[in-house]
Amino acid sequence: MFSTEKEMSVMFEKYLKANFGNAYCKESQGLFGVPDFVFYAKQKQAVLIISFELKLKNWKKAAKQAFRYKSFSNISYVVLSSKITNTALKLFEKYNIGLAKFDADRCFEILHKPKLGTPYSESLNKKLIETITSSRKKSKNIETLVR
Amino acid sequence: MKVYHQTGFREKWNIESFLDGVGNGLIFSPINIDADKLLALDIKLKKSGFLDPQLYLLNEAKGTLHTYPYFPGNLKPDFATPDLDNSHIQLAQLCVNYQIKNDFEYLIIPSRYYTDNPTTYFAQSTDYFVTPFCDYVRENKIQKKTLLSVIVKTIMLSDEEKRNEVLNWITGHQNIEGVYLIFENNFTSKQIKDFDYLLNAIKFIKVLKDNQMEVHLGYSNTESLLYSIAMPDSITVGSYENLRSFGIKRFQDLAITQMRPPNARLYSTQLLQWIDYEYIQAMKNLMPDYADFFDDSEFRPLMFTPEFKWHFAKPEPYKHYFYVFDRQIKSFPATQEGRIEKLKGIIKNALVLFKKIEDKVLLDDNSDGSHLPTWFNVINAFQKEITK
Repeated sequence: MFSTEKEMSVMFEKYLKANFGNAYCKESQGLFGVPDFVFYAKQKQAVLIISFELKLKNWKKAAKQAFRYKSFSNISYVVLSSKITNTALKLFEKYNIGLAKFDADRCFEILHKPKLGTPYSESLNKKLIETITSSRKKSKNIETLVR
Repeated sequence: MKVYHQTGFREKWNIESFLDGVGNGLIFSPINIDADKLLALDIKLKKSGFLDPQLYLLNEAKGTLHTYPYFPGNLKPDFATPDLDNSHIQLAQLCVNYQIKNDFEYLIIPSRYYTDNPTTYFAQSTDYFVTPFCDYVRENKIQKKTLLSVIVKTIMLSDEEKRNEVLNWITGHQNIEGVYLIFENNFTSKQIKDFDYLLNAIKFIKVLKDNQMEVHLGYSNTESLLYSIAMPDSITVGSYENLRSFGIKRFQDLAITQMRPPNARLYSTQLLQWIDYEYIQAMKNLMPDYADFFDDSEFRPLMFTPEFKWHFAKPEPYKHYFYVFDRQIKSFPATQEGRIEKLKGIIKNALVLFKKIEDKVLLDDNSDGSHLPTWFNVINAFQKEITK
């Protein structure tokens, strides 16, 4: 088990880098909420945005935060350090929010894979994309996060 | 029940709205408007309003407060509480004279703010403010109604002894027609969800009304709908959040620190809530009938165009709120019983609407209807008390 969210974040960042590439920003400000990680993948003309909210507990709060990130993201994930009940899982399915478990052994398990969506706010999405347009960072294995 | 504009930064929006027929008057804020500028304002803007003297921190020269003749620092640069012993009469005269010159509807007796009120608070307030003020008004045969400004701290609501002390103090003065009542708000949530606080606030207003006092509620937000069941004489509308919730920070002359600007929000009379604009975007994407949850106004067509750049410093959402909230208040029945039933009906309907929204959009605690069950229970508890 992680003792702090910071510890979880450090390990998750290493995992992200190793498995999905280094195309991400940490704690992006000025959006609708502050996601722990915003991952991006440049695809021809478009940029796919995936936000992650990490939490040790309080999955309900995490779900609300992740829903906010759908304003500027195509996909939004909550990453918890432990499993949750079926009732809780249903909430993630209902709102098309991704849910994954990530533990201290660096085991990443997707519990609900969301459908690709269009960000609710064109202006916030544009604002975010403008900050990463010139980035040369590479992403990989994005398809494993999307239904 | 009247609706006053609690003015502050960008009072222009309130003035324009008032001139368009929204609200019954304006409450002026000395930290935001120069004393001479206020004197020069058209009398029609002042004759149905009043001044919030803002001597809360006595000698804190925030904004344009120092331009007012009654500002203590103009009598003595390092004016402090002991100086009131010799200057309270002069200060009261200057304060009354300035208010008379403006020909406001009411005269307001200032009030001081302390984080923790000293044990001598009420005695001091009587000696330094109430007595010299009322004496001067009486001696000069001034005919205007006088209101005593009172900041009600949370402890004064929760502690019966303290509550009785403040109520006894307010109702013990002769020559005062009513109160400019301000409930201090230390809550971190945007809506007040504390059952005891809300019920005690309503009961507090009722006691004052039972004592035949006029009650004018300052710095109020949506909860003034709830307070309306205690039959106050007026409530306020304000633009920025610090005009809809009283906190002393607004009157402190602090160094400007970089703060994250709040998100723009839109008030809905059906939902009894200010909804974050980003959630309205989500609703627009997920609910074809999303616009039905929001009121009509002359500002709505512009706000709902894709080109409209939502920002907390834009006037339209606030002017929309002034208009729709004023209309909502004015639609309330004149009787207490009628008001209670009307509000209960609106709350019940709002809960149904929130359920509909949350079927598609997962709202956070500051945009959802989580305050409404508490409000409903508060009304029921109050209803029980008055029918005992």
